[in-house]
Amino acid sequence: MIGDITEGREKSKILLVEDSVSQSGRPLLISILHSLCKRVEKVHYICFDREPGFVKACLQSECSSRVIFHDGTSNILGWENKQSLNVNCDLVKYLNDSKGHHASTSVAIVCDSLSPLILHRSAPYTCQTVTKLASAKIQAAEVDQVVCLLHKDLHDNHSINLLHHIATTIITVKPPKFEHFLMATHTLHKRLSGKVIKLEEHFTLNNEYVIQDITEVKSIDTSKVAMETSQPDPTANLTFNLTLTDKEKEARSQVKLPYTYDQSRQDETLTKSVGEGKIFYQPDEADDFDEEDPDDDLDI
Amino acid sequence: MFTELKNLVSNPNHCMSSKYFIGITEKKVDGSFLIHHFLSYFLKENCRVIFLSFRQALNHFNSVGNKIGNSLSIAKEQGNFCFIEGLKSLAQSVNNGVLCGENPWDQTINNNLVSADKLYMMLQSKIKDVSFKSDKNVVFIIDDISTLLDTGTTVVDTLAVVQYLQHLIIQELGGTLIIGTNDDMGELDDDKNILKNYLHHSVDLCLEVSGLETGYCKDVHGQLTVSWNNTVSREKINQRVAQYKLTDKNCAIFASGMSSAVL
Amino acid sequence: MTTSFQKKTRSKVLQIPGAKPSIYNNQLLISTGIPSLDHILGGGVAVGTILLIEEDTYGNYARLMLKYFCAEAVMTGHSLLLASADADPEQILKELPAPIIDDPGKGEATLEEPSHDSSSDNMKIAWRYRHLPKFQSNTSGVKFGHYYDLSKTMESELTQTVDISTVDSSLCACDSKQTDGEFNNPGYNSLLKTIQEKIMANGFSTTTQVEKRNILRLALHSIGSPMWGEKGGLTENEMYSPALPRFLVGLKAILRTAYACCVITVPAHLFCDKAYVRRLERLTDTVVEVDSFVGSDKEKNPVYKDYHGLFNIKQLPCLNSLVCNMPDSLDLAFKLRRKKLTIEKLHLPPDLSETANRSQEDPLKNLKPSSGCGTGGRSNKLEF
Repeated sequence: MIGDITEGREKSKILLVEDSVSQSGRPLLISILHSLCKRVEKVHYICFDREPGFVKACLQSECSSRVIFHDGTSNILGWENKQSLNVNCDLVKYLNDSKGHHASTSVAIVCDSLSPLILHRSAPYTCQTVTKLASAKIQAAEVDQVVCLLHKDLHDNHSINLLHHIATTIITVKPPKFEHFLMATHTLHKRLSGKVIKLEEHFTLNNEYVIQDITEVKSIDTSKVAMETSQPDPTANLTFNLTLTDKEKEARSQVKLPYTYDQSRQDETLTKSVGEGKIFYQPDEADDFDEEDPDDDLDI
Repeated sequence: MFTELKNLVSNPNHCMSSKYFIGITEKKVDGSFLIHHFLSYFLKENCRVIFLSFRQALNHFNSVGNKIGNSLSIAKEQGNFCFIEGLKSLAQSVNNGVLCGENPWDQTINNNLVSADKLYMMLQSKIKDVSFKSDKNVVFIIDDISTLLDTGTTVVDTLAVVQYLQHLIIQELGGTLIIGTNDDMGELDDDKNILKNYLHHSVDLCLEVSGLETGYCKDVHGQLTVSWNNTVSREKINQRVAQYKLTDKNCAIFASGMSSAVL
Repeated sequence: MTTSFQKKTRSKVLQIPGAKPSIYNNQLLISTGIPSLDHILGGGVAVGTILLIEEDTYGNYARLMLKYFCAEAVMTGHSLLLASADADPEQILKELPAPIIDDPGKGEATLEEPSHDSSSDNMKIAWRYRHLPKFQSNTSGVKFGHYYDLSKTMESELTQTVDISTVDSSLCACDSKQTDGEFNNPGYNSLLKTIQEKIMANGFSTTTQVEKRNILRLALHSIGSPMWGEKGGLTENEMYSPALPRFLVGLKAILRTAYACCVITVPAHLFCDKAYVRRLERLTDTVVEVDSFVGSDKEKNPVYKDYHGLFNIKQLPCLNSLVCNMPDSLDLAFKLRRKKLTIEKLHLPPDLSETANRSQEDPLKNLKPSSGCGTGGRSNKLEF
């Protein structure tokens, strides 16, 4: 499923990639970016987190001509006195006004990330912006898809829910459960038909950021590997009887072992007074009764 | 600087004094030894260091610096070190003018609150002054930015300051930015948690200082988790965990279970 | 810029009666008035720092500790500023424990005539206290740390020998609307202003030169109680209130450039949550928590029968140093006998300690204050 979504085989107008501190979603975003380059004429990559060079460095050469980077990190709140992209801009208008070679057929928009918008404006505003972008025309080109990155550990649950509501696909990125995969994703995909698909998958990315080794993880708890190995019964097939009948087992359990803690025995020992143990010695004829002190010849 | 610590955190692929963002998160311990280390390290690397402290006065850093062989006063005389008295200036700014003395942050106060944009502008001009006419790399350090949250600055404003500083120091000036925060209560303190997460998402090197699960120990003071973040990487996050012990003049680093008290 | 952290210079060692340099890091220390607490804190409280005491539920022991601190001011001749909105400060001063006086014959008791002392106000020294070393020209005579008898109160004539200012509830106008937004509390502001003025006017600032240095002790009682207009650390909008943090930041900044030391008690149990208390702790230097057994089930626990409560060290400062001085044990408890309050390592009572050795059970296992120089994710952490 993850491959189908990132490659565009499953249609999704608004694709949300959610990540957290434990696993970054940006590699997946870049993978999607590469696949977008093959499908649309131009991709507008809006940067609100990190400056564009960061992602540019990962871009395959054949894609770089198709991606237009917009840097919103240098003046994110418009504090500096200059014209630049910031969270207060109307993104649709900004994209339409931006200079450069525009597409004429189809475009895609990638927003990396939505978190500054949610933090500095609000979640509803961000929802409105994303929806507007999805249905907008950027200089006569239709917007094929809007892909957004979101750091879910920077926002409260309400805000996240609002973003989930307007998205058609939500991919939550997590650290992988199995060592040899790069990451795990939980995908929620809303098909146009109304069907909702939920899947958990693991995968890796190759050098060209293409998704590989997609493995679905079943929802059964695979961490519990309860294997009941049937052990051969050692008491069977013997020439002598090692088993006990129930009665015998019961009798066995009643036997008081010598060193176990037993309340009655303890009481017995404690209540016995010291003077009662007496030793009666009856010497018989064979006993050697030597009057001498055996230690006499000790030379200390 | 602490050699063992330097060896632990250095990144063979990247020079730490240029275009680097280091985040320090303290979890219920005092991680200021990292600050002392970086002050010493970057001055030795011939950078211009600007340090904004919200926790202590300059004397404290001077004293420790002298003990570990890093004279901040000499560096200051040479123009390589600049100290911004965050504790005093913040105290002056948020207490209705009760504290005596001139407040260099006077212009940042708006309605009894330190205004984030004005604070940034003030820091920006100071940083530009220091880095002007010098080909040395600039290093800007804040020991605990979460103090701004304590005194009423919103987390959103604080994040904005961090982002602007990131752009200024790393993009424009090509230097290194080090920001510390504390994460003592984890998710119990929403705002500080967001601040910590934001830093974690943004930095190149993340240093988490925390106490031991087993409690206080005379021979091991705490644990240091070093993560070299590369959010676009197709590989797993590179991470190392080590334990440390502080003495009067040094910080000893060892792998878990390898403290000299145990061996 | 000079701060109150004075290092021992080769030329002159700063001598202030009732203050001594720490053996660990040359910090100037003063006694809390409780010798066992001084010992645990590495000798005393450092001048220029804040000792935060998180009060026991009913506040009695915290108030007692503050009284010791005030009594110690009298015995050392330090100036004192006592603030309380919950109790009448004048009344607190009348209830200070009496010092246990050593033999009058012991030690050097040279007493300067008041007229020779340039910085003195009009001081009447009762005749029976003349042997007490005060206002001496040689400071070695003033003892560091005294013992007090709780069954007797300090004579008012003795109390009056030192410079004491009080701040009471009239300072906190909690009925007036805060016009400057919710960030500041007018009561805290006024208190901070009073403190700053006292420091500047009486030569306690490190920037002013005086002939004879003295220490100012700030005893702040139950700051953050409802009497100060505090609603558990929350603003009207149920957000964390920045008012008390601002006060603490201001206090710390002032103290760092003053020959003053502050012991402040807060009713931490009244605050909205542990995260807020943690924020306050981080803004001070030393933090201790008094966990009294009164009214709790711990009162009936045989393990604790020799004690009146647990004493948790939650934070110790690293001052001018990479390391902080850790006490030998963090399992501390306190007991109040007729004459004194002692804070010590928690010892099991003899009959229980025997069974502890024999059986596998550790009666302390559920009670260990999970402290440490930083620990895993639980409350009651030690940090420094």
